[in-house]
Amino acid sequence: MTATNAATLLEFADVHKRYGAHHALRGLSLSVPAGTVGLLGPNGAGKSTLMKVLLGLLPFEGTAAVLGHDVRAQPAQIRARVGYMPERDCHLVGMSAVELCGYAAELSGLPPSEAMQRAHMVLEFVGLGDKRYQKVDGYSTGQKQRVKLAQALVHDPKLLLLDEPTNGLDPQGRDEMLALVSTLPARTGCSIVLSSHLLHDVERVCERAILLHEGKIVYSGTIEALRKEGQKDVYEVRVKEGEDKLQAALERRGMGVEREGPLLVVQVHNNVLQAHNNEGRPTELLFAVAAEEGVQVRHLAPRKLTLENAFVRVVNEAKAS
Amino acid sequence: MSGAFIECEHAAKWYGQIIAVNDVSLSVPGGVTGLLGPNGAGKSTLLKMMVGQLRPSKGVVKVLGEPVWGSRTLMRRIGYCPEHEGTYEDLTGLEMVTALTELHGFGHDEARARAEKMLGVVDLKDAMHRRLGEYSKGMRQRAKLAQAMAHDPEVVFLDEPLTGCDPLARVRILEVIERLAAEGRCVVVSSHVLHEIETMTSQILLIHKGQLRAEGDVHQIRALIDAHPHKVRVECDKPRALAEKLVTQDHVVGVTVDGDAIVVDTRAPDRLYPAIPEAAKTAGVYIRALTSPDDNMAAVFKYLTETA
Amino acid sequence: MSAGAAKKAAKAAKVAAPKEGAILDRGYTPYAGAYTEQASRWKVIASRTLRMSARQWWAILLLIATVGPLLVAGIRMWIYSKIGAVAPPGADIPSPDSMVMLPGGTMTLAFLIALFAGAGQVADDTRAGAFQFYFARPVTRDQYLVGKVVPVLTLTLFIALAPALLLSLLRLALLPTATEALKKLPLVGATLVTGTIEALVLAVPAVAISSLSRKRSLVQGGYAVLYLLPWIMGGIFAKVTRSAWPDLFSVPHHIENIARFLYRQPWGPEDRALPVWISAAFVALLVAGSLALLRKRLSAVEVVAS
Repeated sequence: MTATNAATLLEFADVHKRYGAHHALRGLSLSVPAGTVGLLGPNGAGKSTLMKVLLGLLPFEGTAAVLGHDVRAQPAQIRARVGYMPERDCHLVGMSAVELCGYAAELSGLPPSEAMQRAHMVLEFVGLGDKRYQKVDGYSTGQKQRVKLAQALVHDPKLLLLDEPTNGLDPQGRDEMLALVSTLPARTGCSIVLSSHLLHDVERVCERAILLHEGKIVYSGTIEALRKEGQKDVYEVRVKEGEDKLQAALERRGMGVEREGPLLVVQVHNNVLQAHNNEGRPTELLFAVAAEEGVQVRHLAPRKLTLENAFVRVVNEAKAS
Repeated sequence: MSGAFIECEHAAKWYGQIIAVNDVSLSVPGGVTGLLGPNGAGKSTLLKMMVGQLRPSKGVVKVLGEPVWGSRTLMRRIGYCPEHEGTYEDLTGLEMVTALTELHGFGHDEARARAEKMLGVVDLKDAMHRRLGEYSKGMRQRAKLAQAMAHDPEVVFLDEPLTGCDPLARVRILEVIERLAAEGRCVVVSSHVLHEIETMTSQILLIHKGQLRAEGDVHQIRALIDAHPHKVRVECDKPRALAEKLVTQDHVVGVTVDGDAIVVDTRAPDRLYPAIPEAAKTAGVYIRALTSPDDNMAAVFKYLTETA
Repeated sequence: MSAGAAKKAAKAAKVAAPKEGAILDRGYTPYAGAYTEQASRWKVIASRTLRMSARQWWAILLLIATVGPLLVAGIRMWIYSKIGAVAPPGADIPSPDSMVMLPGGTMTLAFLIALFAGAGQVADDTRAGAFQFYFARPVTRDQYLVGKVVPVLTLTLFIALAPALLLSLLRLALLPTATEALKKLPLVGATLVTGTIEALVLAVPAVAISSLSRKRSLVQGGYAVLYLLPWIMGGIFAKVTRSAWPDLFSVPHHIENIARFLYRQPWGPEDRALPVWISAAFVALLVAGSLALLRKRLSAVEVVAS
């Protein structure tokens, strides 16, 4: 692996990692372009091992390159270019936010004066401008998460590794953190690898996804493609009142209906459409039936797989094989 | 108020000058109810009062018709899965659940049988003889759930039940919660991850600054929020034609064109929703999808907690 | 056009010509500057640790407790040497025969500063999850180790060595003739070596023990027990059995042993002492073993939580 394209974020070829008898990574091969990618997988699938390999912290078999640098040959260079936002807290005792970020920058190789400047800049960027001189020990959960993000950004990394960034945040905090993270690639030019169990977060931030299961990659590609494999001719409907009435009416007309909490999942086959002169226009038929039953439709859309459903499906398929 | 599993009558809790819960009156029916609120809003205090761990400074908190504070018999009928884990590192999963079930008044053998069954339900059958110290976060979560349900409680309180769970574990736990609700129990789930609660229920309790801000079906609550017009997004083949038809209606406050969709703002959703398919038919427009971007828990939460 | 009018016209032209508007996004600026040497990162850790330790109450207290008596002793020495008549009998007047300085009071203070400074180092970092912070960056375990040991060693050296060294130099300076001073120079060397050994043997194990637990109090307790217990027990049993071997694990005994050897001040007839090479070996083993332990503990830390 000599000249790798600088735009390639991760380039792994047949990477194995064994911990004694435990085979944590089994022949991982992937090529991920720069951008935003979610790292997903059940517990114990090898996500944290992959991250450790990525950071050059573990010996392994095979070849791996991050941002064009070979992991075995240049681990320190890679770590200088990668910002890691850990899941657990990493706040050194007795430091203010500015001190912590300045220290972080210096440890990553910036001269002291530049480190201080960037520490201030990055804390302002994450929204902690007012509190930066206070000791981090006294921060709220949301503020601590922001400091973690700031210390990951302070040395201008080309790759941000985020591990459960919305841990412990209330809905507003989660929203703000995800909004902030979503703007990072555009504003800083960095790529993001987001590891999280909250697939909603991943959907919001990432374009691509890597799915690990028992040390192997079971999917590597765009999230759109993963979700597109939804069912054809299936629609989900939510109404204000009268779900049962509507379900009965739809079933009478030959459509298969399943209930998912307040949602009706309706399968509209072509023959049904033909029978009702609505060929090629399934939503018209659905609206018509609803109007007939006097039911107010509040949500009607083609059933798209959420990343969550896709995940479960892909993992179950992998388990079966 | 009969048939309500949990009732609070002017419940309040203060610590010196700080009032954590301020004059809360509510009633919770059977099924799944979501308990929402920003950090520091008094949610956990309220939850602890309902579980019987905190005594209300004023007012009364009743579960299953009786005040819950200090009532041993009542606490046996309640299951509680707290957010943070205790440290029982050296016990095996089975031992932990058995021991805690015994505390609820069961003999050792029966407690053990129940523990085994419940651990099977949460898919920890293979791991139940391993020490808790070796469990992953998701496994501990499921073990905690098992101990909250093994004694067959009528009312179950779950505080952030899905943290650390991968999507597969989540699916299993959601199934368990659904089953509990279907069996006629009352399940109160407190969580910050709103779209998870959305998949479980539309009944919510929203606490903000120590007070109850909203109670009931989230969609009906949304309908009551006047300050923010309802948004309805319609993806169609001729957006501007549809927009033209809709903007003339007097309840429509605004129409925005967004690519191949339009977003309609209205103060009277009951009039808009039926009007859309009608207008589409008249204008010869085919609707691909109709969605309401802010008729969900996240939006309700945001609107109700931002103004206060 | 006159000069004044020309100037006015130019000024007007400047004001009149509109400048193209620009909004500068100060939100985030990329970094395009230089990077420091990878090998010098330990200095970053060391200087930060030293600065933070020196701010603590115990550091300030102990430093005062060291410097104070040093100043007093120095001044007294100077006064007595100049005005011999003022000195009380048995006082410390520099003379060719009195060039002896054995580790005394400052060993306690050095022990205390190693206890306070060293105990928190790795334990605090373990508790705070700081290894995720350090090792996800271009910092190696070795650099971290050096960066943590050096500040503790510096503080301990300051107390163990500085007063003794300064007083020795002062004595030399106050001796009546230059030749006598030169003759006594090797003893300054002895002070240097003794002080350094004392500092090493107190500081390095403190940091190593700090890697064994998350709780600072536990580390401090362990360190104290490790040093005080053998010393106390050794002292008692040595007196009882009239043999030197009970003192085998007593660090203060070994330090004194080495010091007496270097200063050529043998033990008294009542005292039992181990052969010097045993003391030297013990000290070397303790320091080397501590470093090895610390390094091993550091290789085992988790950087990415699973």
